[in-house]
Amino acid sequence: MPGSPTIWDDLTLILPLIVLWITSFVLLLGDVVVWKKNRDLNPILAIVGTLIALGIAVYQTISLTGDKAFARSLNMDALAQVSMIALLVTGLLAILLAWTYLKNRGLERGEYYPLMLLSVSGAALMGAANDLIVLFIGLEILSFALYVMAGFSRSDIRSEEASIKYFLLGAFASAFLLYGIALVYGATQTTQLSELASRVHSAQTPMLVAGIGLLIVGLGFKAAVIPFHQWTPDVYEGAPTSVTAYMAGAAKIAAFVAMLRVFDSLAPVSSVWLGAIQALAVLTMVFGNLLAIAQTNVKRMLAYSSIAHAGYLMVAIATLAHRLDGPRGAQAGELAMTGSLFYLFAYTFMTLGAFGVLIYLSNRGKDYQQIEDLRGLVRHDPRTAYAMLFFMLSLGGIPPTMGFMGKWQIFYAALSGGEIMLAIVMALTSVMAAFYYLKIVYVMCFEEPREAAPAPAQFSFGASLSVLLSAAATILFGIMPGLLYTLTGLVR
Amino acid sequence: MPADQSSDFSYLAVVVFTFVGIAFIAFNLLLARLLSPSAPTPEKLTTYECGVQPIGDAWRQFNPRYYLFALLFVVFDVEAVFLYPWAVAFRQVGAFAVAEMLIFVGLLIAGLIFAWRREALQWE
Repeated sequence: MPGSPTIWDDLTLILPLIVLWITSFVLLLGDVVVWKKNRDLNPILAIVGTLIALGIAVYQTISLTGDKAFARSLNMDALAQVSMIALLVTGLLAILLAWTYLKNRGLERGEYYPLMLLSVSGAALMGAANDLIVLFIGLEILSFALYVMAGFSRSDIRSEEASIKYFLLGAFASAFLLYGIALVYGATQTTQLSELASRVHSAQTPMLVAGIGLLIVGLGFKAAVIPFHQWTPDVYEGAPTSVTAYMAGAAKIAAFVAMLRVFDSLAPVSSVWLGAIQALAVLTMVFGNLLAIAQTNVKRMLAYSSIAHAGYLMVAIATLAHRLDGPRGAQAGELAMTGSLFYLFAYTFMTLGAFGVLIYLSNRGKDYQQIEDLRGLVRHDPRTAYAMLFFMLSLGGIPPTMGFMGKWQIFYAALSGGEIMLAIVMALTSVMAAFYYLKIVYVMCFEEPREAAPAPAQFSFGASLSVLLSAAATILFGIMPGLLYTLTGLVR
Repeated sequence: MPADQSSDFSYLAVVVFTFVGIAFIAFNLLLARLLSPSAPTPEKLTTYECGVQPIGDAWRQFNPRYYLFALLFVVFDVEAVFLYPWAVAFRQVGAFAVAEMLIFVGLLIAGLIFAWRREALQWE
């Protein structure tokens, strides 16, 4: 590069993050000093800030330079930009959901939106990390905010439990990750991912193997991969539904983009980790889906479903291992990269949509979470029931929805990469998954409602808009995946 | 292994130092045990010999206000730690360092204003 980049070049590259930071501080202070009682101003300003950040991120994606910033510790390439767009969209939908949920459940406090914007910025840092230390800092920014948000319903003991459980286990997982980073550094003398890629092959020591193992544990915890998933159902169930929706989308995107980056760099030593990733993928797909079948709580079921989806994404990570095995492997690796980003977009739309339906129905008196609560919904509120129907079909991977297109891309990548076993397990467990997603459809559409029509939510604007947008995206990108593919296809 | 071999020797000193440290303290404690007369009274056996009489054990709920004050203290403690190296290097770095420290202190002050307006500093 001609001339060394100045600090201003670096700051310009992370402008969307700076916008998020400024917005969150304006919100934090504005809520306690300037507009104390006008609670609606918080979500509106948060939306404005996120939209500005999204606009800048889209502009930077179009005029992509692929520069590295801050002494090569951030890699603002297509993967970073596309994951940032995915995270900002998730944030936007989640702010709309929270607007309705917090208002109707009497949980409005000014800290919510700043915490959420900060956690989006942490997740985006993870997605842009070219250095394991930056990845760790991003993870901690994301997690700290999530620990607090999980306990946001302070009068609810389950919310408290979710928060403390997530915090203790999360701290433990962070320690594993950090230890892994330390050992990888010990073996290769670098924490930079782009350097790592060129050094790992000549540094295959037991220390490196142990380090990679600990990295898998630390990242697997965040991504909710079996057997590091124990926190997921309890935290998803206990946390306020708007937090669960956001956490499901953002934490998954951040964890898997980080995994894609790390294992892309570790591809030269894929023989060390491929077996472990394959085993975790099979375990996660099989047990995530099996355990989801037995659930009676929608939030808990969606927690196990999120574990199952993590399993499908692990298939993509395993496919990435063949990136250096000739042209066919390289093509499969590319497909795995673009496919998993498409999948993450799909996952965030359909999961936030499904939680959004619960939020739309909840009010101060009743928090909708049981499958029983949805009994006969189609009689009371057909539009909401049809929206839920689409999200369930999409989560189950049934065409013509976005969930199917995402699953198909990962499936195709796995087949062309030679991961036949994983592709077969993926197909079989998807059939298992259809059972519990369609159970909700059955309860909603073919059973008689037990009680009288539910009281309508007092304030439904945010959740309606969010569900509408999610449903539109799920169908639109299901029928015309090419529209989104122009974005995810940048990542090669 | 690409690590340079001399680093193994520098760690040896740390190991020796650790063992010498442990041995030193163990020796002194043992010496005190052997030499000092032992005449315990209930008063002497309490955790804080010259404090308030303890009531019950430590497994009880604490007033969370202590935690808030401790948290705010740590924030400004850390700020002071960062101000020292900044003050030393500030001549070389110039105006940029001033701007950076203003942002850093500004963020902490924003946190303090937030805590103050949320009445975290009130002791009822």
